[in-house]
Amino acid sequence: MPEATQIGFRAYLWQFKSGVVAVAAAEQAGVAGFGLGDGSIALRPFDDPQAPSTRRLIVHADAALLCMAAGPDGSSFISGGDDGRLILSTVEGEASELAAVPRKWIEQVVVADNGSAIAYSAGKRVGLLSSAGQQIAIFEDHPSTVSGLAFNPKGKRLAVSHYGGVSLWWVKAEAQQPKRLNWKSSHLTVTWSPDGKFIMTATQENEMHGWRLSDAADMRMSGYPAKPKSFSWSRDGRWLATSGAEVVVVWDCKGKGPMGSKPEELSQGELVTAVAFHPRHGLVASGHADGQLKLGRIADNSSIDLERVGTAPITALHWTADGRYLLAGGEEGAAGILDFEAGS
Amino acid sequence: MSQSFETQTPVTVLTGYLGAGKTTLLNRILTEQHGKKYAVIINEFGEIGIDNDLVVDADEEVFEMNNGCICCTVRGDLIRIIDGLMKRKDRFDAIVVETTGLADPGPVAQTFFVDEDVARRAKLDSIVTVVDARHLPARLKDSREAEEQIAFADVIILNKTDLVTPEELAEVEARIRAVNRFAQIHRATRCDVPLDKVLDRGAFDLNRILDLEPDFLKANPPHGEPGHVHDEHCGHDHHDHHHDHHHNPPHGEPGHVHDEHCGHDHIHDTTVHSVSLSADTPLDARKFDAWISELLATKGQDILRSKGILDLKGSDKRFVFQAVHMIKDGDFQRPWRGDEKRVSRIVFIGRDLDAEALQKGFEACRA
Repeated sequence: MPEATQIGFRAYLWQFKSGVVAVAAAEQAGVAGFGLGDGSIALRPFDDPQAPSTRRLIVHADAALLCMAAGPDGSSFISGGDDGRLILSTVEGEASELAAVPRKWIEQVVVADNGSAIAYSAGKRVGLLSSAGQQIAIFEDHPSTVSGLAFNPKGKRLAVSHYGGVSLWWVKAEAQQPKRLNWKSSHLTVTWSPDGKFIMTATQENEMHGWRLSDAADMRMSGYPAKPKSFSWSRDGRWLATSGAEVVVVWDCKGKGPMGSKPEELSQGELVTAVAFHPRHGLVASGHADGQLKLGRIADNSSIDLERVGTAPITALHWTADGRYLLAGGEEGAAGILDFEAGS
Repeated sequence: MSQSFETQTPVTVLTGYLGAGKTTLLNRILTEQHGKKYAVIINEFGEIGIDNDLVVDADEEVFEMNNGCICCTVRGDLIRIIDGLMKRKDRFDAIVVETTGLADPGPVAQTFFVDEDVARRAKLDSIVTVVDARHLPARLKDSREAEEQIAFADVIILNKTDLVTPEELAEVEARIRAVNRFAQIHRATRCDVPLDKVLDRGAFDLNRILDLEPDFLKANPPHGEPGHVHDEHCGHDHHDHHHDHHHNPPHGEPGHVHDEHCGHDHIHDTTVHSVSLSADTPLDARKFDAWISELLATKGQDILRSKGILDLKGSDKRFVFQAVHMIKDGDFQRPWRGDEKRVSRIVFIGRDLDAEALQKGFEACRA
């Protein structure tokens, strides 16, 4: 990418009637998916953002969509709803039910980076599925409702956050006991570093908590005015960008980890509600509580305003794998695709 | 805590023991024509036949906040559920949270003030407790939760009054009053209370504090009458009180208030009670702030709720104040009216309150 001052882009914006819960990209199909609170997924080809119409898949009829991820094949989306159903929808609109948990909400779904496995949660239950959607195992042994899921980079282990810490499970069908990482707090989300060394959570007390897996050492990063619920790693795993402050707080995780170090602070503005590291460069996109999108650069601590997507908090941000398109959505239904090559 | 957004969805918390009549009330809220649609968060899904497409089953996950404050607990399940419900907030106007008979209302109430994501989108409207007139005395003896549900309430529905004698009813009311001085009590037989007495009460809205408690500034009922609760105004010296107890009607008579003198086994009798204090000269704002802050920081675990309307020196406006445990909120409200007596009053509801120490601390706030 060129100098920050020369970054050009073209923005395409929409307004949906329902809030955006999640955004993802079906890379093979070239389709952006906006998961909406009314239970539908809105589809736009991200490489043709001027396409005349948005296609809508009614996935969770009369229910709310609570979570969504791109399917392992790159041409589908997997979504969970408060109807207790986990649905795989192809971009052509074919739907299949991967799991059903009556009377529970499916609140989390993740797909391993290499596409090798899928995990979802409903209450205390975590379901583990193969990339083809076949059930591998069900893990029930969690002390409270599950709040977050993250695979390790190879998709061989799964971290599950809950009250009191994180449980680590192996991706396998055989009965097993989870390894517990304990810290007395309500952990709200979890992420696994791309180098596999660290597990980080956000806590109810507006802190980030972490464990260094080599020795299970605890790390505690405080000072956030709000919960740092959105995490995004640089591809090399050195930097971890977090929401929860009026700047993007970026921790340097090289060596022993970020505890005790002073983080980089980028893109000052209203409260940061979503962050997404560029997949190739040292750039972090941020979404703020007033709908503003910003782009900050680690190298020289510079930042620019991108576009304002509505006036409500940004809830979801995602870069396509090539780093050309930034997908964004907000709490009141504003959505956009920013194309960083069209404008330069 | 004093933030107010137009978009905050009101939340009514419904507490009470199983069998007290909560379900009857809930079904009335869901079926009567009042122009509002409710989402309902309940705990005993299978046991309750509720006809509503927005019913959510909660797990009552009470989490301690790991922030050094031992009374600071929240309902983790409520935080998640409210976040989830807000994803389709066009489908309802308000929320009712039903708790189990065994639930402490404290964590539910605190969730709306401690969690900023919840507070941004939802506001606690009131805590409504349904009690069974016949069984309440027994519940108060064997259950701390029954007592706390009364202590936290803004509205108490004293249900099944047809099953008790007028004398028993009066005694039950007096006992409720001894625990909670500021709740509104509505007598009912099958929870047949007009719903506008239950919903949209704004009980935590500082601007509505007085509108809600018409009895708040009124004198206690006179000595010997049902509902009379002894306080500093009842015209006798409270230091002699302990030796001079003839005015508490005997057991079983209307208005008898159980206390440490009535000479029978009170192992599990009420330990929660109200203390109300008043001052007819203005208070010093800084002294009051220092006192209340210190008080709630040190005794907030035992002080369940407090409310006050204060005359602060140098302001023509009423200062209104409320707190749930240690979480407090205060602001200047409307000006004192010319025909209004400028009296500062504050009520504490709590466990094992030291009325004398509270009185002394409050007195020291006079300007």
